Amino acid sequence: MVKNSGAASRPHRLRTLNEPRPIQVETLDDRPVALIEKEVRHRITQIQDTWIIQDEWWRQELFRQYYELLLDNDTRRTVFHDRIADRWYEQAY
Amino acid sequence: MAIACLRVPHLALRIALLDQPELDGHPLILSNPESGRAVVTDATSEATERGIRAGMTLREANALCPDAVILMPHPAMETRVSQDILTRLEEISPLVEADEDEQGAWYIDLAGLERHFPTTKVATERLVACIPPILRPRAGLATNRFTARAAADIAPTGGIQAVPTGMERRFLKEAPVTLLPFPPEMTHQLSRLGLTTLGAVATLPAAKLAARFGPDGRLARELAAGIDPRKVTPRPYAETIIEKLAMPSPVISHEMLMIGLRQLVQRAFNRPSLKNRQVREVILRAVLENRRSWERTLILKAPCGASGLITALDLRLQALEMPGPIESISLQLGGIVNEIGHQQMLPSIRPHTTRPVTEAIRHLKQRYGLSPLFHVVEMEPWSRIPERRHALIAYEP
Repeated sequence: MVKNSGAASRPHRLRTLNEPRPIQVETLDDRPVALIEKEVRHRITQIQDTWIIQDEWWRQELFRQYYELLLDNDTRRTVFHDRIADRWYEQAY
Repeated sequence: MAIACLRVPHLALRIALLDQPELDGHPLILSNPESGRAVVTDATSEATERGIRAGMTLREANALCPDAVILMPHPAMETRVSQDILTRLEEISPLVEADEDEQGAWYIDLAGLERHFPTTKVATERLVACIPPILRPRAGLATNRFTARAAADIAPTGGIQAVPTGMERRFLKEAPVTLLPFPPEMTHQLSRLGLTTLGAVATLPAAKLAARFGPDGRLARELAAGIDPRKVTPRPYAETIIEKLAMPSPVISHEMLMIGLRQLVQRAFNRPSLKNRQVREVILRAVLENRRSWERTLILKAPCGASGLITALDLRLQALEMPGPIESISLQLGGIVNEIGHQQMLPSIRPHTTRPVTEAIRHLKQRYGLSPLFHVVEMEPWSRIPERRHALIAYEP
C-alpha cells in the first residue's frame, strides 16, 4: 500500500516534472568534493562533466553550474550550484 | 541530334473549329464569363489584327471588332485533343514531350528516325501531318529544344522552319527575350536592363547573369547562345482506364449523375486489368449542353476498390453545382495499384484497456471530487532548463 503523501493533487494545474531537489554539498575551492545525504557523506571520486546554464536574465535570472559526478559508491549524480542563491540542488539533466 | 518542336498557337480556340469548321478565318475570342470576369483570355491572329488583346474586357473587344466570335473554354476537349495528338506523335517517335508550361507545344527527339525517313525534314513533315490542318500546326527543326521552339514560332502555317547546325546563335540573335522559358518578371527585368534581344543576352558573361538571376540566368545565357542542355523527356507510362457514358437525356440532378457514375465504376472494375486492383486518382469529365465541358480531378486519400470509389465520388460530388445539363460523362481511373490490405485494430484492444481506467477515474472522482490520475505532457522539450521540459496534467480519457 502506497503511503499517502498528504500533498494536494492539484488536477487543474500543470505540475512540472524534474524540479530541482535541494542537497548538501561539501566544496573545496568552489568545487564539490562530497555529497551529504541523510547524514551520510559520499566522497566524489570524479567530476565527469561540468557546464553552465545562464538564462532568462530578462525576468528572473538563472545561473547554474552543473556537475556530473561519480561517487565513491559508484553511483552517478547530477547536481548544480545556483550561483545567484548560492545553494546546491540535485537534478537529472 | 535533331529536335522538332510542334506548335499549335491558340490551341484552346482552334479546338472549337474541329466542331465548327465554318468559323475558320473569323476573328475568335476565348473568354469565360462564368468565371466572374468577362475578359479576353486569348484571341486568334484575325482578332489581334483588329486590336483585340488578352486581358481586354469583352465590351472593349466588341467595340473594336463587332463580328468577333466569342468562344467558351472546353477543357475536356482540350485534354482529349492534346492526348490524341501526343499519342499519334508517340507512334512515330518514342521520345515525345508535351510542354508543361505551354499548351499546344510538343518536342520530339528525332534520334533513330533516319532509318524510317530519308531526312529529318521528311520526318518532321510526317509529325506535322499528325495534327489536323484546321488547328494550323507548324514546326521548328533544330539541334536543341529552345532553338526548335523559336523556329516553330516563325514557321508558316503547316510548314517547317529548320535551323542548320552551327547557325543557332545567329538565328536567335534578333529574337526577343520574351521567348525565354522563364517567368515574365525575369524577361521584364532583362528588358529593363536594356537586354531586349537574345543576341544581347548571349554577349554577356554567364557568371554575371548567374549572379543577377541565379541558375536561371546561366541557363538564359546558354539558351540565347543556341545551347540547350535540356533533353526531351517522354511521359512516364501510366496505366489508365477510361469509361464513357452518354446520358439518355441531359442530366442535372446529383442522383442521376451518381447512377451514371456507378455504372461507369462497375464497368471499369469489371475489366480484367482492374481485377484485384485499386485506384487512387479519378478524372471526371462531363460534356454539357451547348458544347461546354467540365472536368475535375479527385485524388483519393487511399487506394479504393469499386465500392470505396462510389462512396468517395458520392461524398465529393454532394455539393457540386454543375454549370449546365450533362450530356455525357467519362471517368478516367489512374494511379492503379495492387489491392492493399489494411491492418485493422484488433477490436478488443482499445475498449479493454481504457474501460477499466475510465471506470476507476469515475469512481475516484465520485469519492474525492477530482481525478487524481495524471499523464505526462511535453511543455518545452527543447528547453535547456530541465524542469521546463515535461509536466503532469490531469488524465481525462
